[in-house]
Amino acid sequence: MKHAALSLFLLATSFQLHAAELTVQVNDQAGNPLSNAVVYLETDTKPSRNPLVEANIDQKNKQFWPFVSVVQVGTSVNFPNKDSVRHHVYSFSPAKVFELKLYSGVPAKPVIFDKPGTVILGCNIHDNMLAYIHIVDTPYFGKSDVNGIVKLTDLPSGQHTLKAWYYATVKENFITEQKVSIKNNETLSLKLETHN
Amino acid sequence: MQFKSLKSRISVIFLSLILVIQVLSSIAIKLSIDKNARRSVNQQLEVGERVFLNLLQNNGESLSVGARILAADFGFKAAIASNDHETILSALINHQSRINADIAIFYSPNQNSLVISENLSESEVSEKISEVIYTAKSDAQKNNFTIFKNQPYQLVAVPVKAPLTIGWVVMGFKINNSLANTLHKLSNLEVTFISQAGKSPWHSTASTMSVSATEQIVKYTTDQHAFNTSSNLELTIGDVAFGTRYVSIFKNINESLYVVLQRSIDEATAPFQVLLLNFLILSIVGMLIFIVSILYVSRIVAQPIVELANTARKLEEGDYTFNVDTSRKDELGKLSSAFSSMRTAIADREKSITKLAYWDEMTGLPNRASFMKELSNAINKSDVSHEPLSILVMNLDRFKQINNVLGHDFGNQLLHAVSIRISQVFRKDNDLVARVSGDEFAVLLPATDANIAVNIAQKLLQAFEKPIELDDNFVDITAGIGIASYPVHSNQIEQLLSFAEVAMQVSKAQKSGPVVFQPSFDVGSNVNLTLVSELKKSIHNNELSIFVQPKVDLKSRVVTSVEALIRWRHPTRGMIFPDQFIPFAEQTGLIRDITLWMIAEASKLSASWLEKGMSIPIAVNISARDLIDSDFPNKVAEILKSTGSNTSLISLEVTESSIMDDPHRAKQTLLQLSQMGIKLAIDDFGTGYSSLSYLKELPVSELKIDKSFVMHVEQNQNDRIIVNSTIELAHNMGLHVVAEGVENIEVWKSLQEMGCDYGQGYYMTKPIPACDFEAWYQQWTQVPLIYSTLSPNSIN
Repeated sequence: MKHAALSLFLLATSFQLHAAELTVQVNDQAGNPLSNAVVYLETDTKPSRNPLVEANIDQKNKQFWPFVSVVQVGTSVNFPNKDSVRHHVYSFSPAKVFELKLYSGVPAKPVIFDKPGTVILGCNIHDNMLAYIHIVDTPYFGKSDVNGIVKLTDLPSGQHTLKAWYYATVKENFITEQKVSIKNNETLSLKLETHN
Repeated sequence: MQFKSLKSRISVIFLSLILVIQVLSSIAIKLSIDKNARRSVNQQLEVGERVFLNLLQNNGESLSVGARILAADFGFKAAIASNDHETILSALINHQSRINADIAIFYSPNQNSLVISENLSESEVSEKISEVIYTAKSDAQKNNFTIFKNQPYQLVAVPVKAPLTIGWVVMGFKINNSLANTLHKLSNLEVTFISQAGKSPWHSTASTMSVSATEQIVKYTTDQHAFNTSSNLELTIGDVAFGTRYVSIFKNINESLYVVLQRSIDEATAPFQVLLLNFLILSIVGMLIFIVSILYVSRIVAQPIVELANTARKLEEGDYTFNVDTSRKDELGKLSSAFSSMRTAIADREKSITKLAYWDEMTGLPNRASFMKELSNAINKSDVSHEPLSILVMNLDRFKQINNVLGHDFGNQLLHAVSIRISQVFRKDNDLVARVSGDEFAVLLPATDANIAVNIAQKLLQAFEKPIELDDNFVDITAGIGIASYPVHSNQIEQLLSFAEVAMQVSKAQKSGPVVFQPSFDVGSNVNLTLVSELKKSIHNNELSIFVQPKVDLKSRVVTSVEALIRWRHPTRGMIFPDQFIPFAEQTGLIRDITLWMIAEASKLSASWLEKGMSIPIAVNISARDLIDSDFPNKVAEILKSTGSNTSLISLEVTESSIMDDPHRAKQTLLQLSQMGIKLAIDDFGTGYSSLSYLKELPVSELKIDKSFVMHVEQNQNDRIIVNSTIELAHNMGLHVVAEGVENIEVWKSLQEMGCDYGQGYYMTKPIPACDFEAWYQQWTQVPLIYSTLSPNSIN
């Protein structure tokens, strides 16, 4: 098994103070666009926006969908089972330990993720099923698309901390952070050192 | 190699051959067994290695299964999540016992958690467990080993995923006796595990071998610097050689674990040894069968040859009586047939040769050689039985005469007839009749002493009293028979025969039937030598005297002459007849003195008679010795002169045989004597070998026919013919004829009829002493013509 070094580079910072937008380009060490990277901005002040009431993580074709989710603390997450077989979803992650014993359809209660951190989801029936939920304590977050681009909007101006998490960094569960000053619409490039 | 027989040669060659084959094949088999056994051991070791690896693989899989089951257990994961050590440990022990594993460990690097089912120090385990996990991460299939506290373990590490890896479950088996025994059961190999950890010495973990054997393996291992695990080696432990294979189980910088697989080569060869033993037993049995067969075969081949060799030896010894088996059809049979016909041919040839050598063809009797051989055999038998034996020698009288007059064919026929007559007398089984020379026969009489032999001889003579008839001729056979006996006379065959011949000569001379040999006959004997010396003195001692026998004119009865005969009055032996000493005198030459003495005495005697008015000449016998003495006539002349006699008063008689000794000189002497005026007569005519034609040349005036022809002249036709023809021939030659042996008047008459001139014999008188002659003469002349009436001629 190869170990790859992880490093994050902040290539440029430029944003507007109010209703500013931040576009972040996430690349891996080799410079290739990295998808499924979670990028969020923590502000000094309490976030003004409420979290989304609910989020869904489907089980389809014996896979979790989406593979990586990012939610704000306090968010209820539903785990609708869209397969014909039953699943037994669990997490032994300290951020949220829970299990949904063999069920089909949508469980009666959603799971509320009330602590920031990373939750690794597994299925006791299907060892191959794996999904990550990163819980952040800020309303400003996003997940990179296939081009490695994350767009954060409605950002307050000022000095903030930009953080990035990727499920397969060389240093496990490592969160890359850097200070950013939000003024205008800014574009940022982030480089993350990842597994493979 | 030298063989005494074909049989042993065949046997030895084939036996050696089979022995060599057996030995070579035994060696080859032995080598092959060893090679195969080692190859088989090597194969077993290689197979053992594979079995062992397979066993490890299986163990690994069963460990893996056990560990996976545990790692997948949701409760176990929950316990890990809650970091509940006690629960983790109980789960480890539970799953360890499910698969009979020896050790179970949970290790979580993230949580820095280590749970061990066995009593091992955490520090030692944590140090090595990461290595085990590292190995498992790189290749989950690879067998994983480590050594905890000198105890090697086979380990399997399985990650616990929730769903990412949150820790590792490690399960393991001890590399111990149980594993060794399992492998031993599977592979039938001896198994020893040896390990080395750090700087501690090599150490045996487990073994199916004895403690001492294990120690030796450890020692051997310690002595080695490097192990060749790709090939096998041979290790001798105790007295047993083991095929040995080192298999490396694991090895890192400071730890090594090997399994030593071993197989006893002896054990591997054991089944082959049984095979070899069986082969040897079969070989020995085969050899025995072969020995018996080859002996039998060689006997079949050699035995007939041995028999033929024995046959040939018999042939060599002259035994032709055996039979040769010619029933075989093979080459040996042909050889046997050849032998058989050779035997027959040799026997036939020898028979004819023997016949020639030992058989007289004319008479069909054995010859002299055969007689001598038989005599020799008979003497040997006689020695064993201590019985005497005797031989007769018979010599026909006048045979030469008969031969000359009647021809050789007649003579041969006569001999044949004589042989038949002799043979008729004797016992065919015991007595052997042989013809030993021309007219001489010999008879061998076993178990017969001289006295009985005389009787037999007389019987033989009786058998000849009847004349033999041949071609209408009747032949009267008279013969001299001499007898000599073994062992009294001699113990040498030649001498015995010669003594019998001497006796026969005496018999002929005496004409008195069979004569047994006396030592006195033998000139060479001591007695006779004494006699010879005495004879020399006898003349001077005046022991000799003269007897006379008158010759009478058969017509006129007038005494015309007398024959002087010598007698020896021996001072101790008495009267000795000339037969007994004249032969010696002739041999010694003394005869010449005797002859001269006789002539002197005779001339004196005749002179004395003349003075008395009896003009009767005296005839003196002279010997062969005298005839060859050229001075003899002079000596005679001197004697006559000294005695005052004259040649008319003396006549001399010579025998045919004495003339024939040296006819030329005899003739000279006789001529001289004749010229001196001395009358000469041939004595014993018919017994010698002279012929009338030869006598014609001699200056003789008278012929004396031997008495053997005369005695039976009136009965025997042949004698009559011989006498008659002799008279006629003599007369034709101008000779007077004197017949000796006139024993009766019939003979006289016959002779007179045949024209014989004079007669001499017992009828007139036997020889009388000279002094008695005058008396006889007076008596004879006083009775003149006493038988004249019987003779017509005598009347005139």
